[in-house]
Amino acid sequence: MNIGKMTRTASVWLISAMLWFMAGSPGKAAEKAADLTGLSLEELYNLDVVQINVLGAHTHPKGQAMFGYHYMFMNMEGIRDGDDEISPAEVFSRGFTVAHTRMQMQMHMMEAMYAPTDRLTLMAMLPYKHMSMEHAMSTGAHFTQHADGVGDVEALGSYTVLGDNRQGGHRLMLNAGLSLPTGSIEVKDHRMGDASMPRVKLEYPMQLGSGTYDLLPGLTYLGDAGNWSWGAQGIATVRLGRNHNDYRFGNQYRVTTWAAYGITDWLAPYVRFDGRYWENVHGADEDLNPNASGEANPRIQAGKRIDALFGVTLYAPRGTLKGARLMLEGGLPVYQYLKGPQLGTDYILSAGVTYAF
Amino acid sequence: MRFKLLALFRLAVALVMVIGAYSLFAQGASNREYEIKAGFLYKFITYVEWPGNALPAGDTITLGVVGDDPFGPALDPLNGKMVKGRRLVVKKAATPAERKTCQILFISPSEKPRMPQLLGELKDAKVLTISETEGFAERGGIINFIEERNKIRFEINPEAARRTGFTISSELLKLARIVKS
Repeated sequence: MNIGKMTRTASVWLISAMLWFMAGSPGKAAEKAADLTGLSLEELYNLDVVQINVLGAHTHPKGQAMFGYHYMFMNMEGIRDGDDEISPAEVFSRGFTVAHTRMQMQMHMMEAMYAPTDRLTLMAMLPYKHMSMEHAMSTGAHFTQHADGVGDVEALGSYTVLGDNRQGGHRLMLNAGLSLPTGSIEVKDHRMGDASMPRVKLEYPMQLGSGTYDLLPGLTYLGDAGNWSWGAQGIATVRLGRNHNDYRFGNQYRVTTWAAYGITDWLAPYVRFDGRYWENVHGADEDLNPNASGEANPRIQAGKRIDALFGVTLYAPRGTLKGARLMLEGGLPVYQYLKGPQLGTDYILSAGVTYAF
Repeated sequence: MRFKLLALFRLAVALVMVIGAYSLFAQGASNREYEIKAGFLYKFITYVEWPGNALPAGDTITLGVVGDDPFGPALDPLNGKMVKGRRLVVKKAATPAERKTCQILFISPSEKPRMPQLLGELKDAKVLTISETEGFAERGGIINFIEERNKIRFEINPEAARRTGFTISSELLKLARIVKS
C-alpha cells in the first residue's frame, strides 16, 4: 500500500468516524441517575467524580497522576521477503554473507501521566531495551550479538476535542508528541560475538534509538457504554532531519483498535488489533555494509504488519490497592509483508502495572 | 490472502464502531459529578439545623434550583424522599417569591453575573444557599461545591450561616473548607 492510498484510506475512516460521532451524540437515551442519598457523608466525600475503572486509563481527570511500568517481550523468527518465508540459504544466494535467524527484544518501559485539566493528559515514557540477534553465516558459523540501553524518551500530550471525559461515551482526542534522541545509534558488539574480536557497529534494528527528533502526531477515538469500552488510535512517527550518522529511520504509521468487556469491576478481557506500516531508512550509516545482511541494508527495511492481541486487565476498584491496574497481553501477527529479507515477528508478550492517584 | 487480512482488519475497526453506536443508543452515560452533589444536597439537610420557625408548618422541605439546572436527572431521586420527617420537593425557583418559599436554594453557575443581587435578595431569608461558583461562599453564600483531585469538596461560610440563624454540625464543618466573607 503506498502513502497516497494509506492517506485516502485514513481520510475515509476519519470522516466516517466524525460523521458517526456526530450522528451518535444526540442519541443518548434518557438515563436514570444513581441515588446516592443512602451513602454516609464520608462515603460521598470519598467518591471519585470520574471513575477510573477496569476498562481503561487513556484519560485522567484534572489533577490525577499515574505511574506505570510495562514489560514487553518480542520474538522475531523466520526470514521473510514480502509475504513469503525464505531460508538462510536463499538469503546467501542473494549475495548477503549473513542471515539473521532470530531477534529477541525485551523492553522495560517506565511511564508517567498527569492531567492538568480534564481535557489534557500529558505523558512521558522512558524505555530500556535489551536485544539479542542470532546470526548465521554463509560459512556455516553462528553467533549472537547483544545490545542494551536506554531508548528514545517520548513526551506526549492528548487533548480531548470532542466529547467529555467525565461523562464517557464518545470522545475524540488529538495527540501530539515528541520523541527525543536519547537512545544510542552507536551500539556495538564484538565481531562474530567473540569477546576477543573488535567491537563493530550493529545493524539498524539493533540500534537503541533513532538519533532524530521525531514528531508523534495522532488521533484517538474512545468510546464506552455499560460494560463495554472500545477505541481506535492512529499515530505517526515523523522523523525530522537526519541523525549524526547521516541517515534517518523511515516514518511509521500505526493504527490500533480495541474492544474490552468488563466481566466484573476488577476483570476485563480485551482484544486488540495493531496495524503498522514503516518505511525504509533514508540515507545510510557508513559503518554498516549494506551487502553483509538484510538488516544492514537501508533499502530493505520497510514493511507492514497487523498483530492480533488478546489481553486481560485486572483492576483494584477499592481497598489499599485502589487505583492499581495489571495488564497482561499476548499476540501474534496475522499479516506481515516485509521488504526483505528481514526477520518476521513471531509473537509478542507484555505485562504492565500502573497506579493512578 | 494479504487483501483478505487487510479487509479483516478494516472490518474489525468497523465492528468496533458499530458496537459503539449500538451500545450508546442502548444506554446513556451517567453524570457522576451531579449524582454525588445531589447526594450531598440531601445530606446537608440532615447536618444543618434551620433557625427557629424557618421550616414551614407543612410536611415538605423545598429545594429550589435557580438558573440553568446542571443536575439533569441527578436530582430526580431526591424528589419525594423523606428527610427530617418531611417530604423533599425539588422545583425550579425563577422568581423572588418562589425563592423565598424554598428552604434550600441551589444557585446555578449560570447566575454568576447576578450572584450579588441574588445573595442580597436572600440576605435575611432563612434559606440555605448552595452553589458551585467560584467566590460564592466569600460573597456570603453558605455552601459552595468545589472539586479537588477528582473528589467533590465543599466550602462553608460559617459566618453567613450564623447570620441567617443556621446551625451547622461539627461533622459537616470538619469536612469543609472554611471560608470567610
